[in-house]
Amino acid sequence: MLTILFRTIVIYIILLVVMRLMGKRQIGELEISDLVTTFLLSEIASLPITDTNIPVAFAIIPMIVLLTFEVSSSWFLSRFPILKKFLSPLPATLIFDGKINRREMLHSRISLDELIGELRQNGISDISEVKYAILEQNGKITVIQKAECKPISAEQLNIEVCDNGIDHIVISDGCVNKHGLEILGMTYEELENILNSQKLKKSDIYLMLIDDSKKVKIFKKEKN
Amino acid sequence: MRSFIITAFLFLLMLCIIFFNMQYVRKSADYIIDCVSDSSFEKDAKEAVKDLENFWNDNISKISLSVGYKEIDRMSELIIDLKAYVAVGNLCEINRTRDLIAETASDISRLEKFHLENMF
Repeated sequence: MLTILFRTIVIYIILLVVMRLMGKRQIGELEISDLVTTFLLSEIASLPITDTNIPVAFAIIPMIVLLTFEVSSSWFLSRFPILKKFLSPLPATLIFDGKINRREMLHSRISLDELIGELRQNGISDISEVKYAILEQNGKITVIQKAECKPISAEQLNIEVCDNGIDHIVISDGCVNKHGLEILGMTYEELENILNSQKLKKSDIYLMLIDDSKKVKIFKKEKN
Repeated sequence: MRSFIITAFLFLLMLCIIFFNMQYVRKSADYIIDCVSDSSFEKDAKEAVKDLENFWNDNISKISLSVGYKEIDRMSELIIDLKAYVAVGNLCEINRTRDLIAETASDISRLEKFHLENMF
């Protein structure tokens, strides 16, 4: 048990250092510590399931150690943000005011093809339109266009737009979704009134959505 | 905060279990080594093997909580072998099996110690 405990700690620290040195591109959407924990947990959990020669305790100990590291690291990082720079690389500005920062590109090991591809994915074909392109801590590239290249908003045109909010599911496959009604602040009777006004029964409805402005959308069940 | 406290509690509980289990396994391994190295073994081998077998059968479930099945199976096999050699009186094999049992017991004990050998 003691050997397993120390081995888990050693491997966790080594993996953390390796992933930190690999840079942002290998991380994906997760934090480095999250990624290391996910890697290790999936392997640890599967071993005693498939190999009956391994006692379950050999998987429980590393799992508890990883849980402790994960919870304590996020706890400490939320209280002492300065520690974050040791675990996660700082954001890197790859393009500033339409100019590519070659030093940061080399440092972050991002190729021009990758950068241009990311810009294309953001709907930008001309680098000179970019105010900032920042490689974030999770490995994603945030692209911010120059003000003159940004699409015109309704606010800039002084046009009033109706914000209907989001749709909430009220009836799903004939069943009332109480949570949806609670969010909308509606009662069961109000729902019944809407259904009666449209001469519908709950059982006839496949999906009923109501948005924040109380606009109702109903999709009836198809009759076979 | 609640998850942090629960995790800290689980971790401390695990450390306690590891500590007590480590002591237990090391004591058991020491007992086995003493048992097979003892000079009384030569005087009454049958009785000594019976004691060893009883001790092993009584403690196997607790020891196997933290010791791998490979070591557990090896020790069980060696004790059965020793019992058979004692029954037929094969002195050469008895001594060889006693040494192997002592070595397996020290391996079990080593795994419950902080050793660089265990780490890498």
